[in-house]
Amino acid sequence: MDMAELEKAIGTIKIAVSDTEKEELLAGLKDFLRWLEPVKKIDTANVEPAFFSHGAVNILREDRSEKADISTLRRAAPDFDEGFYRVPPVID
Amino acid sequence: MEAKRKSAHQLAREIGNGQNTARRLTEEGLKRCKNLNASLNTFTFIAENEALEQAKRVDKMIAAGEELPLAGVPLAVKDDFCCSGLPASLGSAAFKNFVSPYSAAAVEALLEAGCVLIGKTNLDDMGMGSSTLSSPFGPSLNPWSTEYAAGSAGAAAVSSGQCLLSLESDTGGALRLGASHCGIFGLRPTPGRISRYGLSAFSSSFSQAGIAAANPEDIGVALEVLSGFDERDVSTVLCRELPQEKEKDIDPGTITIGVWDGDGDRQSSANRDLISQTGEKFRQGDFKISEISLELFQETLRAYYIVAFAEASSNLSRYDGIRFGEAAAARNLDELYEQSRRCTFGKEARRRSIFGTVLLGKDRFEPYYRQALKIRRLFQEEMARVFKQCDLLLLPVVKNLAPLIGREAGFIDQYEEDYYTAPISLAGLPALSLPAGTIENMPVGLQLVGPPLADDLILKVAAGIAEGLSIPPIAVRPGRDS
Repeated sequence: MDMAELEKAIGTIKIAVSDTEKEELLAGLKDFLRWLEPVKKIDTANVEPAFFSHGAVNILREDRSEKADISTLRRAAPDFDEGFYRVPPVID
Repeated sequence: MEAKRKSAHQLAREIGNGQNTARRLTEEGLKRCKNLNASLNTFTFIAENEALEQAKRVDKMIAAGEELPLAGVPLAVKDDFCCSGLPASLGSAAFKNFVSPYSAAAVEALLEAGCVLIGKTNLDDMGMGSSTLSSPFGPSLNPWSTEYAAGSAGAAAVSSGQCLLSLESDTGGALRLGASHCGIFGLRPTPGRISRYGLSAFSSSFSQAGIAAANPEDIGVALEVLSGFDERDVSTVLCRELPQEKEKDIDPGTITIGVWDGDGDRQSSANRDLISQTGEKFRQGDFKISEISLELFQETLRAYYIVAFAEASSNLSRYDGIRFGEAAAARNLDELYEQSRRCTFGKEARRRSIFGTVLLGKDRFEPYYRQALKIRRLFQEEMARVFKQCDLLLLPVVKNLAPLIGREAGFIDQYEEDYYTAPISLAGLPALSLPAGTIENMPVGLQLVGPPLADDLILKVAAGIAEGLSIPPIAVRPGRDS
């Protein structure tokens, strides 16, 4: 584990982290990976991973429209204009 | 406040038959909350006006002859559940002004059953932790001694009589640990019993809605209200497997309680004593007791943290300043994402999302993430074997007393506090934290764990010995009891 791998992860999830915090995170990550080492020693040959607590099934539901109170929706957003949410530009 | 000395179901009955009114109890309850909140920091928001309005509605419905199983019961809701028209901080300072436009399914159900929502309770940074020490609003203090953290603010609210029910979330054990630290009961139900619609979950396969109360009967009433299929949360399809008929009274002689008294050095002698004393109470209640051994338990905490971090790194990506969260000032799109997340996440949320991303990286996916999921399968199989030898399993909740305020442990030491609770989350089992005794004058609980869908059996068995438990269900501090 080195700074390059940590910075790659930080770049992947896009979060601002100061240089001082990066150093702290790297030290913490090394400790964390050491703490996790025993997990790798458990024999899991021929074991299927369990992604859920129980068997998952997909339930499809009907599409249906619901009436929303505009004033409630307006309160939930930082910027609302003529019935639309206004968001920052998403295309550079 | 009269409500604190009565159980929720007794109180609802009194309101239902006209001996009391929701309005009167709510006024008294709000007064008590405001007094205690100043010293315990239990609530992020006290919903005074909304509570009085709801109490008025409840009284009107009762007067009109409606039957409400939780009429007038003061309810606290953890601040990671959405409640229409109320703030929902989700444990982030960036959301402190966010007002939810809708209510979580569980909140809706409890209000329909007559509960009066008193306020939203404090939580750790984005719900990540089981102490409240990382909360952007400061820690919630333990009503038994303010030198200690509450663990769960909702548990502290119940313990100090600020409410009779608390709707909680439990991912790796926050509800159960908090219930233990505050001397009350806390149920993490089988995943799928309660809809998570409207709960901000940082871990999709672990985060679960649960209930804290001063006795198991109240949790049973609330669970009945909350349990059921909700098309907005696919996991609730499990409720279709529930028996139509309610479980009848139990016959203790036919029920075996498995007892696991720990794994060597990790188990404190205090925990061993509690297990032994509580096992004896079960024996006196005519339950059968059987010693159980668990082989994989020791490594499952680590597997839990791998999966939880991986899921957190994925779930938290939606807080990008566009879909969710305040948009930070930025010169371009990347900077907008980076700065918005920086404003939204505290230190712990940043750590978990970054570490989770590392664990999902190309070279670490197989040896860590998939390996952890395989360990989950092995542990589920081990627990299924255990429940062929016993009906329910008794084991510790905590490794240590509640964290001391101002003495925050290192992050791995904090994760180790979930040693007894996170594995149960990993296996997807229901578990009830029940008050079992005191150590150094602080309450300590034990967990009663069952196979999937054994929630009702767990509550009935706990009720069978609840009166014999050695600590009072509600802490009342002399001089603080207004």
